[in-house]
Amino acid sequence: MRIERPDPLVHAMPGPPLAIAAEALFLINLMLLPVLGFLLLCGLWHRHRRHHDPLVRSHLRQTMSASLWGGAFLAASSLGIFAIGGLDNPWSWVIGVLYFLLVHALLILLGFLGLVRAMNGHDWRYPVIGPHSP
Amino acid sequence: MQYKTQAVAKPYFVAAIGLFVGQIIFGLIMGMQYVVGDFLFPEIPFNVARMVHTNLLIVWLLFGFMGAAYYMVPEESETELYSPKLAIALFWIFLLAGAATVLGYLFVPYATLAEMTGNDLLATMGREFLEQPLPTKLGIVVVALAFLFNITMTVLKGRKTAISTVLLIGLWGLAIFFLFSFYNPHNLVKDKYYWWWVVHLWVEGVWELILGALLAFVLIKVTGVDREVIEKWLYVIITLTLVTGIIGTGHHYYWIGAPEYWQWWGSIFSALEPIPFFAMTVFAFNMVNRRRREHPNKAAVLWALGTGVMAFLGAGVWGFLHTLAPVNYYTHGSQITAAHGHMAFYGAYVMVVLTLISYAMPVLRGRAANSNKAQVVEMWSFWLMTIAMVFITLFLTAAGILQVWLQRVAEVPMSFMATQDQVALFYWMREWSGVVFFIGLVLYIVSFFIKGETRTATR
Repeated sequence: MRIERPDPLVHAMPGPPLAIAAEALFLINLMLLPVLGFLLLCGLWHRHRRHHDPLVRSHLRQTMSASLWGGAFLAASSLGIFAIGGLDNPWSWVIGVLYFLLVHALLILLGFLGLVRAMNGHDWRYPVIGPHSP
Repeated sequence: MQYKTQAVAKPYFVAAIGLFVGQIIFGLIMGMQYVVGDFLFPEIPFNVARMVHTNLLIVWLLFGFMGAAYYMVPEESETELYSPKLAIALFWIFLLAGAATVLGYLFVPYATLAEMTGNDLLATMGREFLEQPLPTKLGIVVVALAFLFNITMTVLKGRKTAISTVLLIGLWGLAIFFLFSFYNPHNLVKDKYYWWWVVHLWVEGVWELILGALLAFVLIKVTGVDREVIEKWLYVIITLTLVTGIIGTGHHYYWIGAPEYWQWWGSIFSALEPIPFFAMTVFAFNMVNRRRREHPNKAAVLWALGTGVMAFLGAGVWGFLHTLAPVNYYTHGSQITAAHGHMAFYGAYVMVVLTLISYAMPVLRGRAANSNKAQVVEMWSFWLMTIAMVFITLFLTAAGILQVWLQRVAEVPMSFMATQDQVALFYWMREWSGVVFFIGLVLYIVSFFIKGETRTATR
C-alpha cells in the first residue's frame, strides 16, 4: 500500500503524528512524567502496533524497546551501585548520581534524535537498546 | 557580505575572542589556586582572579552579542547600519573602559578602587558579578543605550522580521535589567532579591531571547529552511523561555529570607526551565535535518548543533539537578552550582557567540566559508573545548557531591576548608581539563590563520 507523505518543504512536521507521539512520550517519560509517560506509550503501542504505516510501527517498536531496556539499565545499575556501595558511603552517591545523570542525559539525547527523525518522516533505530528492523 | 556596514562587527568579534583568552587564563590561574593555595600570591589573590574570570566572561559575551547584532541587523533589515561611526566609537569606548577596569582590579586594592571611583557617592560595588566600579557601570549604560539607539534606528528604517524583533527585545531587556545593579539597599535580603533581577533575568531570561535569535539567524543561512518555519519555532522558544524563566527566578529566593512560598513557585517553574532548551535542541537538529542546501561552512553548522545539545545539558539537565528546594537545601552554593554554571554558560552563550563568529567571520573576510583545512582545525577546537567542558563539569559535580556529603550530610560534618582538602583530586582533574580547553581555544584562534582553497554555498 502506497503511503502519501506531506511535502517536507511546506509542512512544519511532515512526519506521521503517531510516530511523533511515540517519540514525544519516550521523552515525556524521561523528563516530565516518569511512569505515566511510559504507561501512555504502552497504550499507544498496544493500540497501533499493527498500524499500516511501517514508519509508525517502527517508531512505536523502537520507543517501547528503548524505554524498557533503557529504563531497566538505568534503574538496575543505579540500584546496583547503591547496593554494593551502601547508602552511607559518599562514593556511592558520587558514582551513582554521576552514572544516573550521564545515562539519563544520553537517553534524552537519543530521544531528541528519534523525535527529529519522526518529525521529518524518517526511520530511526536507538543504538544498542533499539531492535533491528524485522 | 551583503551590506558594507556589517564590517563593524569584525573588531567586536576580534575583541571578544581576545578577552575570551584572558578569561580562560584567569580560570586556569584560579583552578591552580584551588589546589596550590599560594599560587601567584600576593600578586594575584584568588578573589581578584575570580573577579577577572567572571567579569571578562560577561564583557566578552557582550562584545559578542554586540558584534552579532551589528552583523545580523543590516541583513535582517535589508538596509545599512544607521551609524557605523557610532558603532566604531562605542567599540573603543567599551574596550578601553573594560581594559581600565580589569587593570584596576589587578593593580589597585579593591577597597581603594572603590574609594577612588566614587563608591561612597552611590555604593554599587562588592557584589558578585557586579563588582565593576561606578564609572564602569555608568559607561556600560551609556554604551548600551547608544548601541541600542543605533540598532533600533536601523531596524525601524528597514524590514522588520521576527528575528530582529526578538533580538531587540533581548538586547533592550539586557540594558533595562542592568539598571538594577545601581539599586543596592541596606537590607541584605532586598539586596540579594534585586541582584537576581540582573543576574537571573539576564541569563535565564533576556539572554535566552538573544540566543534564540542568533541561532535562528545562523540556521536560516546554513540550512536554507523557510524563514516562516524557523520563526514559528522561535516564537515557541521565547514563549517557553519567558513563561518558565521569569517566575523561575524564585529558585534563588529559597534561603535568602524571602517568603516561603518561593520554595514552591521556584521549584515548579524552574523545573520547567529545561523545556525551552529542549525546544532549542530539537529546533537546531530539526532544521539541519531538513536542510535544503549543503552549506560549505560545516564548522558553523557543528557549532549550531553543539549549542543546542550543550545548552540543554548545562542549563537544562545540570540546572534541574539542584533546582528543587528540598535538593537545593543540601546543594546550595556547592561545587554542583559551579558545575552547572560552567556548562550552562559554555553551552548556551559561549557556543552561540562562537557559532555566529564561525558563520560571519569568513563572510566578513570575503568568502562563504574557510578552507577545508581551516575548518578541520576549527572542528578539532570544537571537540577539544566541548569534551574538556564536559569533563570540567563532571569533575566539579563529583567534587560537589562529595562536598555536600562531607560538609552537610555526614554525622560529624567537616569544616569548609577541611572538605576542600578532601576533594582536591577532583580539582586537579578539573585543572587538567581546563588545560585541554585552553589548547582547544588556541586551536580555534589558529584556525583563523590557516589559508587554503575556499568555496561558495551550493543549493
